[in-house]
Amino acid sequence: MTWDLLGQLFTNQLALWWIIWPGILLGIVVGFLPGFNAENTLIMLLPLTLAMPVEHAFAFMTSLYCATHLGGGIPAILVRIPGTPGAAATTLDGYPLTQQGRGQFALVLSFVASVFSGLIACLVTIALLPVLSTMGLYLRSVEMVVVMLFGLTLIAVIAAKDVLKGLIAGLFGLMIGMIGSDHIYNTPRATFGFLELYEGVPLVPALIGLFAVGEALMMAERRLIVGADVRERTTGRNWTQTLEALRYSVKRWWHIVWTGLVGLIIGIVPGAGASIASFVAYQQSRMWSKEPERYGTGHPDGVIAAEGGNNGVCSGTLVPMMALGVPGGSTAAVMMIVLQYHGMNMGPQLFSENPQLAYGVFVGMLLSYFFMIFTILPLARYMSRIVLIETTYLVPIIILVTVVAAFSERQYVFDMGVAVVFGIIGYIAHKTQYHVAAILIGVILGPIFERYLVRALRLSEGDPRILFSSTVGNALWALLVLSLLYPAFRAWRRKRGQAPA
Amino acid sequence: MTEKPKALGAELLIPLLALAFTIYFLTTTSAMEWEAKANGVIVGWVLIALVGVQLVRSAIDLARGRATLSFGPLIEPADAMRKRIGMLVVTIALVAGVPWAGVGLGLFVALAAGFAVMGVRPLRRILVVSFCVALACSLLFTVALDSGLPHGPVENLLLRAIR
Repeated sequence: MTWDLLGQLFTNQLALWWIIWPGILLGIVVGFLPGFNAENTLIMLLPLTLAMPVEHAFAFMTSLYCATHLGGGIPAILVRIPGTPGAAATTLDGYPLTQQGRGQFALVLSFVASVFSGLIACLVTIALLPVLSTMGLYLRSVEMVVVMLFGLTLIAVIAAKDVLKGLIAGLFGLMIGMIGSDHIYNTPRATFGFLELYEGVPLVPALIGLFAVGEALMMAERRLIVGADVRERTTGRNWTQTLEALRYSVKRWWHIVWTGLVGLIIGIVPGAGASIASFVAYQQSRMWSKEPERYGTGHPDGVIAAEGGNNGVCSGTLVPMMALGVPGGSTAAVMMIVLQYHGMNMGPQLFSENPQLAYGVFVGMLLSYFFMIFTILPLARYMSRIVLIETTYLVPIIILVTVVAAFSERQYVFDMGVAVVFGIIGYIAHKTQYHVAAILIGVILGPIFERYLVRALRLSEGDPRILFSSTVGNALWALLVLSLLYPAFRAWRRKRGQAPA
Repeated sequence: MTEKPKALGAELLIPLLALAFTIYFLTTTSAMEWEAKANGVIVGWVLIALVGVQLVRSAIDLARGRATLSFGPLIEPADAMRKRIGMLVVTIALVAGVPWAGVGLGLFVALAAGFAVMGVRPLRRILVVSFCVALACSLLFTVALDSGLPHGPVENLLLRAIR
């Protein structure tokens, strides 16, 4: 791609600001609402996007898609309810920050990390598209088993405070994730006789139950989300926390970059998504951190890592669709429908026949991130005041509205019931210190891990040595072992250094 | 200072739930091909072992007087528990009623009941806030996002007014 073309694409996409902006605003609202996501919103809006010229449709769809990833982090930070599954990891450190009266700080961190990781991922995609498009081919079932293990080891990390409880919660989540038809024979397993569970436990209602309903039931015993001691800090009418978060983000720019790149690489793999990316990025961030013990208690790097991974995925998901004609995720599949409707050929020929569109999509994404940061940043100060609403109002609104929203993903009233059941499990887990995030990691990653593992073992006719049969896979195994051993090694060195001579 | 005894009744709920589900999973999948149950068998048996350890640990605590079989942490404080049970009843009623009442009316009634359970007063405030939230949700879910939620009298009226 030449600089001339790049300049021209910028000018063209800039002229579409009037369509990018509504996409961003709608995306933030949709991301904020648990139960709604870019995919189901884009499906609902298909009549609109099909009627638009293809460049306009893509500018709208990509801006909405990126904004939903950013919007999902807002309720995750303020009320511990992830708006999208990709924002679940954000609750781990975002909500504790809010409870310390630093909601504005956490929100700004999440916005900056989201936007800049998205921007970096976009720039890398534009520069290295031909290379990245082949990367997905190297990450097959064997390699993905190891990538999944990166995420699953977070259960052990969470379990660090009470190993037994953490592991029971994580393994319980993994068992719940196995409900539904198996990946080879399609035989229903542990569905309690419900047809609605044949596809597995619906993720969004489970998320709503564990986090939204469970947390709201906890809130019932307090008058406000934040304690009286930090209330004053939350009500402060100034930009101090915003500026503090901006300074912190600049200081931690490299953290934003590499977590964004983790998201980008995971996003390229068809079927992998933001929830995997955010947990893997969070786990890696904690593993390599100098103060891992602060994670889960309101460490700013935890928010950056989760949001960096969550948003780096956006460009990655589009790479296989644009370069190979294979949608990287369900949202990309909806976008592909629009492209095909307009008679566009997917795959390498798209770049030779219509480079304006092929690269224009990523340039449009780049611009929507720029618009996004200026739209959302000034609002952080006001959003953070949500926590000052009394729980007598918040509890009914959170429980009832999110349970209704649980319907939206699959349009089954049954799913609203699933949210209630998971809400009760979430409440018991919260109250008895069984980490709900560990349960959720199991529910999210369990079925995907099983799918890749069974597929790999099927290829080798049951021989587990296949898991160590590829160069990329072995390199990932080495990295996994290294990242698990490194914190122990560092702790040993620190202990040795402190020991009296 | 003496340590407060652990409330095992509450603490053991999640492990027992996990154990019951694992046994259900293992028994109902026992006749399936290995690919369909391999993962479940491995994870399930590890989970059973861990729950076993937790039960033994709890039994020792109980025998030494360091724990009781109380459900304290789950049901205290009593005032909050009344609110929680009330909210759960309202939510279950909403799930049962929404297919015929629609999201607008169903949500309005449920919110009003929920606010009342949570102690919001006076009645006028309950009705006004419930009406505003239900209307906003109706507009967002059914008109703007056309999410397929069941329509009731409110949605039909709204759609008729718009068309």
